[in-house]
Amino acid sequence: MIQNIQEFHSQLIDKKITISDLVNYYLKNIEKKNKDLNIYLEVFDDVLTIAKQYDAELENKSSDEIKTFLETKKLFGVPVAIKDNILIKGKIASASSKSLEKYVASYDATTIVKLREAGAIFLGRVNMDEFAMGGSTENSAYGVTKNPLNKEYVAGGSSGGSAAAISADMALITLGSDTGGSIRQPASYNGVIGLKPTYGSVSRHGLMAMASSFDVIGPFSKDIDDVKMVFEIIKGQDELDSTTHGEMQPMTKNKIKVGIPNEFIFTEGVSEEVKESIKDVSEKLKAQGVEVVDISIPLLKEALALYYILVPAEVSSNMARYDGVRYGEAVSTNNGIEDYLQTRGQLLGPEVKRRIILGTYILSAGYHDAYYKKALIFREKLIQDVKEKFKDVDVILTPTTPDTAFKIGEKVTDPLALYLADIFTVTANLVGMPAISVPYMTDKGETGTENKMPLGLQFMANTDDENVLFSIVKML
Amino acid sequence: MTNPIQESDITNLANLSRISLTEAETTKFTKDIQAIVGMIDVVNSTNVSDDLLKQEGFAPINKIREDIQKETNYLTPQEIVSAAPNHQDNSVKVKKILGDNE
Repeated sequence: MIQNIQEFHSQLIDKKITISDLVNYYLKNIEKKNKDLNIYLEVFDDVLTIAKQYDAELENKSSDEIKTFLETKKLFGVPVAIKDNILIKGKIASASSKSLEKYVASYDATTIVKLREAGAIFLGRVNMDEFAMGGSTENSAYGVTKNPLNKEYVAGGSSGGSAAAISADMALITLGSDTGGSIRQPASYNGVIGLKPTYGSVSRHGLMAMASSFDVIGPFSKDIDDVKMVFEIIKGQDELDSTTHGEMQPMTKNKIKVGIPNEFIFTEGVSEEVKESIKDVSEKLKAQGVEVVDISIPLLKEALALYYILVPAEVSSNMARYDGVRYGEAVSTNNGIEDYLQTRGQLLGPEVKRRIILGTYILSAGYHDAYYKKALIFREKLIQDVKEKFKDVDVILTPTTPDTAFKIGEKVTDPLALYLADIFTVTANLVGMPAISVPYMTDKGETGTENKMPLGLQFMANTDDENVLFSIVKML
Repeated sequence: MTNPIQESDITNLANLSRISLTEAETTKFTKDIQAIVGMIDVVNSTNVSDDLLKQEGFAPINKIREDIQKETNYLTPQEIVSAAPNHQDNSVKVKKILGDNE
């Protein structure tokens, strides 16, 4: 069917397709496959009505008029699915948690306002790990999302529904959020593109906070031009998020230099196939005049530890608001304190509780200095280290994940094993820099089957240098 | 390495975090958090100078908007309060904090 926004809009101009046609195509796919894959938590009931209204707007326009109109409404009629932690006014936003099962958003996230202004149509909300904590959607209170490429495998997470919806052809564009790899890792596992923008380039207003100094919203698509366009629409300073900033850097470089950190390649658990594919891509880039060099960032080895200190600390603070008083569901007992204990004890899932308790430990007297304060210092040193490297190279290349998707249930009892899958992605969030995952290779598949699973390459760039990422991805 | 976390620590931390845990959860979280703390302990066991923390410009700077009153129809108090599970007369309703209710 339609591969990208440009193709869709060309067909709208030529009157070969209607918006309702495309919406119906996705709705049929959802109807056919969602029961099994569990990607959408809800398909909005107003989708077709809106599609018909939008079609009516184009009906009496000539092809030239439609062309001019679409230059100002760049996402007109584009069906988009939204991760369940981004607020759309009047719609449920549950963050895949029992605690917010019926919570109806009282306002729109800034990204939603911007997408709507550009003409996007919201198809529905998609599954995730509860409150974005996890890497497989196995922590969703509404069941795991299966990988559309092989249903025995996870779709990754936490934005597993957003990545799988693209891979299963259930939306043209989706939004996810990335705190430590939650866009890039599922993009890698599903063979689609996922962008984690620079911290503060996209407003977090209306995104349920997980770790406020790490979180960022970003797009998924099969097409790099679509990723770029959606990013350009959702980014920008927002007075409702004081950590947002202005513009991204223009693309001025005519030659790109890529660095591959030794620390990544020698990481335990990186398969031979992955190492081979990194070599392969370096050769391919070199053939196009890209300089590829080895670099070293010694602190990368500590990155995962820093991440699992700072993030639970921020999580434990941010999650305090889900007390059954202000939002969502509440368990009622015979006194107020017991209400809090039971609401949070019964309605939050195990991973969320584990991280709140870990964060509370890290921030408690005696451990705050040993862990949290030291991690803040290391984070600053890491930022300086990585900034220094970007004086020499334009992009840092690694695999997105050490390996392809794992089987559902394989890591569910061992949180630490799951955390290790984040080893390549957390650095970009610690330093606030942009990174993108693009499909590049597949594994050999299970013996005796044709079920090859994809794996992404990750390119990371300096703050606000998304344009370099878009350029290098186009060279693959 | 700091002392390994005990089940009694997890119980205390859960209480501090206002989370009731079952016995099975307490046992499981103790084991899990011991393993995670083992992984993050590399940070605790490394000596670093905190000079960086004292440097000007260490913390990210928030851009604060001007403190001026603006007319807005953005969100009404009713809209905010209606999200609360228990509300009455435009206020969030909570239980008595001293003694049992009813």
